[in-house]
Amino acid sequence: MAEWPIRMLVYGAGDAINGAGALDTQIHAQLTGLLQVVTNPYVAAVAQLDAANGPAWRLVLDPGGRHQPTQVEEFNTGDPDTLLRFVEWGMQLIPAQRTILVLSGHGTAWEDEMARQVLGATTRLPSPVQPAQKGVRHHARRILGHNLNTMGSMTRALLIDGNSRDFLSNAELAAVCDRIAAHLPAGKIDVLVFDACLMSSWELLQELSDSVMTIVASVDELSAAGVDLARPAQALTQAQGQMDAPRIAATIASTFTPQTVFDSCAAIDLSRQEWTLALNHFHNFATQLYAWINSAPGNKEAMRNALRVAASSLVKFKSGGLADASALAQAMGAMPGVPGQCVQSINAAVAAAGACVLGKKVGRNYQAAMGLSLFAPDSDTVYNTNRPDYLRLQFPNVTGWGSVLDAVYGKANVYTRFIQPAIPPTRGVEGVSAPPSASQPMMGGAVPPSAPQPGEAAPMTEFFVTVRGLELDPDMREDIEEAIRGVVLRVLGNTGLGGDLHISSLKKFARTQGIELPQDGVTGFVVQAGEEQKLH
Amino acid sequence: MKRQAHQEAMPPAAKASRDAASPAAAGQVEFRVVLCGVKLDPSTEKALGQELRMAVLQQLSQLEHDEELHATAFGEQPEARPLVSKASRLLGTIVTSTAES
Repeated sequence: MAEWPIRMLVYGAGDAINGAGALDTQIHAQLTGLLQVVTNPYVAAVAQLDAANGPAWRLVLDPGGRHQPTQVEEFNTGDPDTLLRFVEWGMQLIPAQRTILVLSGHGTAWEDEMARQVLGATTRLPSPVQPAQKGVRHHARRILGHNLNTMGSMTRALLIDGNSRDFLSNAELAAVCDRIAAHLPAGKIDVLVFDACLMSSWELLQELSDSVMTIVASVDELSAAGVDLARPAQALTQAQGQMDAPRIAATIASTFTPQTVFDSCAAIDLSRQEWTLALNHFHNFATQLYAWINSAPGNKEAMRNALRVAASSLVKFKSGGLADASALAQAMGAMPGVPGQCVQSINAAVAAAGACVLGKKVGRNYQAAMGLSLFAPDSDTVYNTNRPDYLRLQFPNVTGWGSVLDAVYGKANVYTRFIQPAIPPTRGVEGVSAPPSASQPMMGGAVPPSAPQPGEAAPMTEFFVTVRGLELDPDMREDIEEAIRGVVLRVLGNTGLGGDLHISSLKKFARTQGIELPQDGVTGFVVQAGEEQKLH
Repeated sequence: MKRQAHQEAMPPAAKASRDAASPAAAGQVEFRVVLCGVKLDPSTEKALGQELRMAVLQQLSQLEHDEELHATAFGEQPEARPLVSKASRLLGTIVTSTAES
């Protein structure tokens, strides 16, 4: 066949961590079900599974049995290059119009440093979850189970490979999705399915919004059985593969069967205009809230109480300070004295984000939830532990939520410039401060950037992209600028920088520095490291 | 006035080169990112440049046009100049439609 309408690429991290918590049995069961349906003329599928006690396998799913599984070397599923190589292999084998990428493994969010620490200290943890036996294991898609210390219970990381002691950090995930998307005709992965816990996180989805069109994920923990792949494959086949990305994602979510009261599966469209609109409303909310918090001594405590209420909305994973977005809005609305405009803004943000939810299937505990989490730390400990990872993300910087949390928990006001009223409420806005530090390596082992040492001339680098021979209307110029800002924020934000960053428009910068720019046709922005850096 | 006098005093070839480097004169749009005080290692610098180019191309792919787009490295278009400081390192891409090229 020249080209299938749809291809599924299933990447399974079934490895155990110190002999416990392996998911290969469950992932194998999912693949066995999928094998009953695909490959057919409309949907083709390949998979890679890193088994717990044995080799890794690559499989071409073929009900006719014409393709035998291929044993391959032991993979490190936490290595982005491993994922990329698998996807490239699958895409070369199956030319297709649309791509569904399924990442199966242990739960995740954005707390990379915690995951790294736990992997380094796993042997010291008291009681990792027992290997799944049969039926529903309530925590099996999360790395660790009940009665753990704070570090263990707060750990979330994607595709943890216990054997290789590695995991896919959110920076690596975003980078590898970018690279995969670059291979695709639409420039984005059509559907990314997180067959893992806790991935329906607003912050994390924002990191992926440049390279992924739709997401299917869970807001809380997910039963070991995971997301059923066979039923949606059957529905796609019945439709002869004639579905666009949002319909595919909605189909996967709607065919999900909750195994417990806390199971959830939501499909979210990141390509809708409302996704960006929601960020704008959230920025307005955070700006107004920040001013209110600082206007009276008792407001910080009121806000802490509201965060505690909001964080109680996640019923299973209680210790991570996550809240369903709608619960956060409700908690803000119930807070005494908060300005009405502030409440309107958070409600507008949640409504806009809710418009991006294409469909969901949830257990009893999440009937009223939106299915998208936000960081709502309910204690100093939770905030202090997660703050370094959190402030590396786009969301807290672009919306101002990071500054709000800093104000609530008494952190130094080094991230507040973006919350000034003059800042336009869009992604990568003028004045956005990028995260101050990061220890995670970039893909390919690149050395992170650094600020100059005292006495050293501040380096200056100019990147340009010139477009000739095309008429670009103002909207397109704005879209390009926004895309560029997103790239710069992500690349610099995901690397270790000695000082903080300040972003301003090129024109404003030139005006203040007395630099004459060409009258028309040049646009852009300037990123400055550290307040003390002198320009040369 | 001084600037104008200086331009008039420039040799014709140099003036043409400067005109070509002016986005307004060339009917082009230029997107520029300036990093001040951030030391990037070469691989990160290269990756950032590539990602910026990809981001622009991805946006341009949404335009309806018949022409093909060609991306050329800065080294093939040496008329580009730093805007903010003469000491700046300059890395870039020029995207040209077939009609223009």
